[in-house]
Amino acid sequence: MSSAKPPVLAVRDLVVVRGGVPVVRRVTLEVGTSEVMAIVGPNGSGKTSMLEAVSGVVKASGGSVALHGSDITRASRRRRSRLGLGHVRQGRAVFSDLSVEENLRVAARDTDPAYEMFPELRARSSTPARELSGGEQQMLVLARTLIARPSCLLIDEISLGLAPTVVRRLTGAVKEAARAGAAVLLVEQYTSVALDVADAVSVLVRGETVLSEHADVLREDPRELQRAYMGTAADAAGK
Amino acid sequence: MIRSLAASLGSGAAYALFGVCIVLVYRLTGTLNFAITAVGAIGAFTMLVLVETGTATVAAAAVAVAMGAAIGALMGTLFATWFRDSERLTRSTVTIAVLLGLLAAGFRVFGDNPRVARPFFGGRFEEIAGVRVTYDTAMAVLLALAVGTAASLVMHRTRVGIRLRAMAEDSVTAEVDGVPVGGLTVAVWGVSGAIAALGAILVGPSRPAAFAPLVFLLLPGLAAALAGRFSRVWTTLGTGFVIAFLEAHSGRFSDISRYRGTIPFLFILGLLLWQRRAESWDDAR
Repeated sequence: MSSAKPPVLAVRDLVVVRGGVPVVRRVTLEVGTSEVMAIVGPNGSGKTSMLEAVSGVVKASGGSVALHGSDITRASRRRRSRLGLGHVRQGRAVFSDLSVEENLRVAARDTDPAYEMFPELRARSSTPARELSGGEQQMLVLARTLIARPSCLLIDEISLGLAPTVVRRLTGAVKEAARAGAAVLLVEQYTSVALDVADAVSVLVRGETVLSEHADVLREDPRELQRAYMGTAADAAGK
Repeated sequence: MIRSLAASLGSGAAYALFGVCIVLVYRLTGTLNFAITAVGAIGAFTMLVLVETGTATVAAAAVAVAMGAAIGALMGTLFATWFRDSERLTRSTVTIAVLLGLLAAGFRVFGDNPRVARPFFGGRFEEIAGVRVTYDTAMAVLLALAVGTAASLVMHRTRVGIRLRAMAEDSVTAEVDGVPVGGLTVAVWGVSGAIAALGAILVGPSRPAAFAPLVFLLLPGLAAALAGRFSRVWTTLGTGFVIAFLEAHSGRFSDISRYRGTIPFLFILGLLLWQRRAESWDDAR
């Protein structure tokens, strides 16, 4: 009897409570090798809290998180990182006082792969990260996470406030990481970006999954996605 | 002037080392450590007791530095686990509780009678420009400079230093990126405890070694760290020597020599007023 290989990331009935209010309610999802799953949803739908519970930035109040079949629900953030979890946090989380090179060296000794990914960073290697443009900062954060070679990559709002050309560069690097074998869980506000990158899409509204579908299906007929996304957003606005 | 300078070097080195300890812990872990000189004093008194019982000076000093490191590491463990996500104010307040605890323990174990701290080099000295500079003083200054240089090199030239600075800026993101935040926090506290013990040992031969006065050397250390804005190692080191010089030089004027203990207070007050001058002048306009 052969046992099936577990998914890279398995989230079961995840619950996150913040300030006494449940912001993620029994969310379940799986992401496999080389698969990109996008989570979309309106502001305040619990997308960031869900990612933060997976990487250990916040504690899960219920449910479980498993990486390569190992339960990491109570593991420290560093242990999750050592097991192969990488997290690009929301808001261009550079270490602003450190130079570009130093930012990269936080994650890995060999920083060349980062400069191969985004050659423009090499010319600015000694520049403090706070002096980079928004796009360069996001490239730096993504490169810093990728050079640690994570087997599971969490990305929060990679496109936020950036020009489309920069977003294409960033999503290109994400696709490349997935092709190399990483499982990617991507949180996005823009459905166009999500559909461009993802193999599967989940819509999260008020902490609950209201739709989960293959990206191909949604690309062919995006109305269902719009209904799930916009309909519930309109409901919320109506309230 | 030169005599005052020579007389102040030993104390200056100790103030500088205490200041650097405060800067390192504050800059890297966001905690203002009010207990640092108490940690140093326990280390120094451990050495004095060991020397009194016949242990060789160098061996006793090594035990004292290890004792400082151990107490520092214990405090680091406390902060890395129980107060990990607490605010700076809470963490700094906890160090005051630790200071009081260590003071009480120190009085209990060592008493408050001054003890004689023997010079490391048996009182040997060199005359420079007509001023006697003991080998102990020279060693104290060299050690202070070595600690300053090592701290700067580690922080800016090594991967551990880069990770420490990342941790200081955003510990959560650093940990997500694989930085061992807990272990580094304990290490920073441990190293600062060792340096504090070294500072307390160095100041021993230059003044009566009683437990409480040694602990209250916190004030010049804090003044030096304040001058370095709790982040600049070399400014802190330099200010430690300046405060010691002012103390020593004021001793030459009989009218004010009895008030020389207030110099760190006055220094802190003057520095705070100077730093607030822009706001005050803007408000007055």
